[in-house]
Amino acid sequence: MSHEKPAIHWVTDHSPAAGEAMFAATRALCNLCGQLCDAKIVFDQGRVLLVKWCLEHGRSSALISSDVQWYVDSMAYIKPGTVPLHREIGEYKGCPDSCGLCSRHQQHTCMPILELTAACDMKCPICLVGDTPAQLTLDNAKRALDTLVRCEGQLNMLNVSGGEPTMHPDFLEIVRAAGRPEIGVISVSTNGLHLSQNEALLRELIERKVVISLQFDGVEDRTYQLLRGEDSMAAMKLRLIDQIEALGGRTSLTMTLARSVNEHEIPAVLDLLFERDSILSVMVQPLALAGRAAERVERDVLDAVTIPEVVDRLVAGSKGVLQRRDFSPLPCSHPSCFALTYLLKTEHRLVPLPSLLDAGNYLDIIKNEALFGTDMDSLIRIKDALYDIWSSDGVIPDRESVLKSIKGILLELNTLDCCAPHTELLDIGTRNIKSIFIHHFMDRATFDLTRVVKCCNHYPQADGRLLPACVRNNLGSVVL
Amino acid sequence: MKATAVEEFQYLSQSKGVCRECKKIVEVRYVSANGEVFLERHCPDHPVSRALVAESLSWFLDAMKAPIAARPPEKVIERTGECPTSCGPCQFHAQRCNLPVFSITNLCDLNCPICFTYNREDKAYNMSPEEFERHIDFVVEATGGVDLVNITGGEPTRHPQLIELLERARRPEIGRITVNTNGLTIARDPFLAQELARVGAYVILSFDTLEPQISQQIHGLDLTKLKLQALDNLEKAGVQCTLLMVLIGGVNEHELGDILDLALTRKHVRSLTIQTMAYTGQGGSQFGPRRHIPVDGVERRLAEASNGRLQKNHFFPLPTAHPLCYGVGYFLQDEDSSLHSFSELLDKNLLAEHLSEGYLLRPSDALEQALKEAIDRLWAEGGSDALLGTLKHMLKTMYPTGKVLDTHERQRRAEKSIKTIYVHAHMDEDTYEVGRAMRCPDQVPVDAERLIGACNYNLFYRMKDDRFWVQS
Repeated sequence: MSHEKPAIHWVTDHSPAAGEAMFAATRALCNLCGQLCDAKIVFDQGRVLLVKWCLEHGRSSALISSDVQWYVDSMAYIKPGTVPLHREIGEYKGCPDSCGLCSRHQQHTCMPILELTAACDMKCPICLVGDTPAQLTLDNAKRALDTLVRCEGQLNMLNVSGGEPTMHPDFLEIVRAAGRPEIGVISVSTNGLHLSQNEALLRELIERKVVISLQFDGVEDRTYQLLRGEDSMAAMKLRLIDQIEALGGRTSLTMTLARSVNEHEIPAVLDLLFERDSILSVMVQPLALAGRAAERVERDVLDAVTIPEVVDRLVAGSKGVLQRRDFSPLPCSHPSCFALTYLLKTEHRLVPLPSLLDAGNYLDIIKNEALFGTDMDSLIRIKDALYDIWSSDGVIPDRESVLKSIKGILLELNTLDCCAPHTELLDIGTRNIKSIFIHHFMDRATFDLTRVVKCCNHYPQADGRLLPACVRNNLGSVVL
Repeated sequence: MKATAVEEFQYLSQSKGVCRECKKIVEVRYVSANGEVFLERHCPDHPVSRALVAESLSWFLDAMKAPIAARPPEKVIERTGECPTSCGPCQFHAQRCNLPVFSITNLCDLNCPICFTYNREDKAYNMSPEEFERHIDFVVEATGGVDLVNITGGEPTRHPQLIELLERARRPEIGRITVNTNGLTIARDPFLAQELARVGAYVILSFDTLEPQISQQIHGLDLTKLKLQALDNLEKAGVQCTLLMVLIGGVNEHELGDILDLALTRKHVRSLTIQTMAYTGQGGSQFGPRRHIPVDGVERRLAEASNGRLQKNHFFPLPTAHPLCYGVGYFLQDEDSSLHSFSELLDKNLLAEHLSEGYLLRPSDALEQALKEAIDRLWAEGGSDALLGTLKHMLKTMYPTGKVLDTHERQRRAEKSIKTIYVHAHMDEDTYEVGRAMRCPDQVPVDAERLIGACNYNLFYRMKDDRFWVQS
């Protein structure tokens, strides 16, 4: 988003009695007890706060955006939702009481997250899940896949998660079951410990074109000591990336960003994305205190890491590759949930796609997929957009090598037939384009009911419901 | 098979509102469909229903980004329930009272089918001067002073001691007293107009139509001649006026141009307020069909009815209220009566900053400076002599050399060259959203201890006071 023009977006009285400027009302959770209560979004000295009033505990608040300009600009990034083919909940009894998805939910499931188990071979203090013995049986997992297919018809992506999903006794069986024609690309979220020691498993996943979504908070041991409670993880993670690359696999890195812990690690993580062909994407998730993290971690809710800050840190750590305007909110979810950019691989360097495409085209192309090009639709759109660049005389940076890359992609795309499998599409997409996503999960302090209504990251439950991620994480007691 | 997109429909945000059917507080959503913005009510027990709140999604998104002048109330009551059940305002309210609204009587000589309040000839109530003064004291204490006070009813001219009340409200902490009226008494009694002039009251004259048939439909009587008579009497007496037109979808929209002309051509009419029909209260809740006209819809209709004198972008949201509640346009009227929008003379953000107290521009030194710069710029660009002359004259009277005037006096002097158009959308059960109520600066003093946001009062509190409520 552009941020060049400083404009007054709010006026406040400068007397000592002045308070915040209210933008909108919503419903949120009391910081203390987690009960739903009245809330308002306010602008305060250039920042955006969520202020709640619990009848029992009074006022509490949380930072939700470090930059009011980003926040108000992001509100224009909206796109009509897509309805699922089928909804598990028939009767609306009020939001979020009858969640899962009810008839009033405003987005289908772009990104299903199948949680196999709460078991894990690590005990991260920042874990969103926590210490429950819950485990999906193979039958329930298959049923959840059936539900997803019934609700969505065709799924571009499925994320298999946990806990540590590789700990599930039927892990591979479930991955195999997920390899059905209606489901496109499978990614597995993992801490890497087990995979780094089980090459046979890793090999099978890679043969099945599974993308390894590796929890990767930085390259320093200290980061993992603080966030994961483990002494020496960094070397293992880097070795695993090598191993995956050697086997011809693909990795996407998921970085949890915590204040005063690993902000300085962003340049190193970006370097890996920029330098390693096998790394498709980086997903940065500002720390959210749900599950175990809510009990173990203390944090200043008015000094939390939020999306505009992450954008600025990514820009600063990109050695000139990225500009702030290359990032935009994801319009199909709520604009406060995601920001992202795509990068075109050229001979010499990566070029942000937004700097090549016009805004309208670009917004049509971006989707809630950390991996680019998992469906024919978006590939055709980008093909058209690339033809436009190819045939125009517009000024583009590093024209020659950009055009060469575009020509390469167009040639590849032209050889595809319309029924090409997802994995083949993904091959073309990921060979040429990388992505950077920022996903701001909500926790008790930042939970905003407005955002939930448009959530597209859903957890299939054993009972058939599809729960928006932040509802599951924060309102388990209400809806489970 | 692919999942399909909902054509042209998108969800924007959720909040709380009220179900028209069962009056329960329910989830509401702002959604857009075909480029328009609606408030959608989600009552678990009743079907989803929608009311128009903005004609244009892009206007809505821009309006929400407009400057916000926030001054939370200093005097609050303890919050004992969720919004809107504990209004007073409580610690959670986002805007102080800029316009206290006093209902001094429950009597009215009309029984309008569009009335959004409740009147009671069967149980007469007139606020005593002592009670009134107690409330004025309370308002002054709670706010530290206000630019404007509004006296309403019922019909205030039915109050036997109206003038005494107005005299008691004349004090340095109060800039201006406005009195709402249907004009009937003033039309029949020129002396009342003289008395109103004597106490310095501004009159807000309800003026919805010039057509007898429409008057019959919305007031139950043909009042057209009386309205013009009242306007003449007020002019003769030298009373400054606002014309208040309730714009009713499908009823009097076509008269907007004529009433605009009336406001622009009558010298004593300082401003025009277009209030959109709120389908609530004694008459309004029964009036139909319900066709909500939102703020941007009024602005578009004004532009279309003005023969090119007004444009939609001459209007901007009042920074002290929610953009769906108030829009405003300021116009300089030069000697040959042509209009010049302030939004073309001055930067809109600067205008917003000078509206941080409410409804009247603050004549600060910075505003003087900005106006001088506008004059220089106009001169350099070859602006018309009439406009330059008017601007210079206004500046000279507002900021006379060697004399410092107080704010209210400067405002009075400036107004001689200015016409203001306010667009005000009251909420009814269909459009009520708690976020608008939380930003409300128009507040009703109750029991000399609370100030309740006007629409909260109309929809949730009036029925607790049988002076202003009739159980239907």
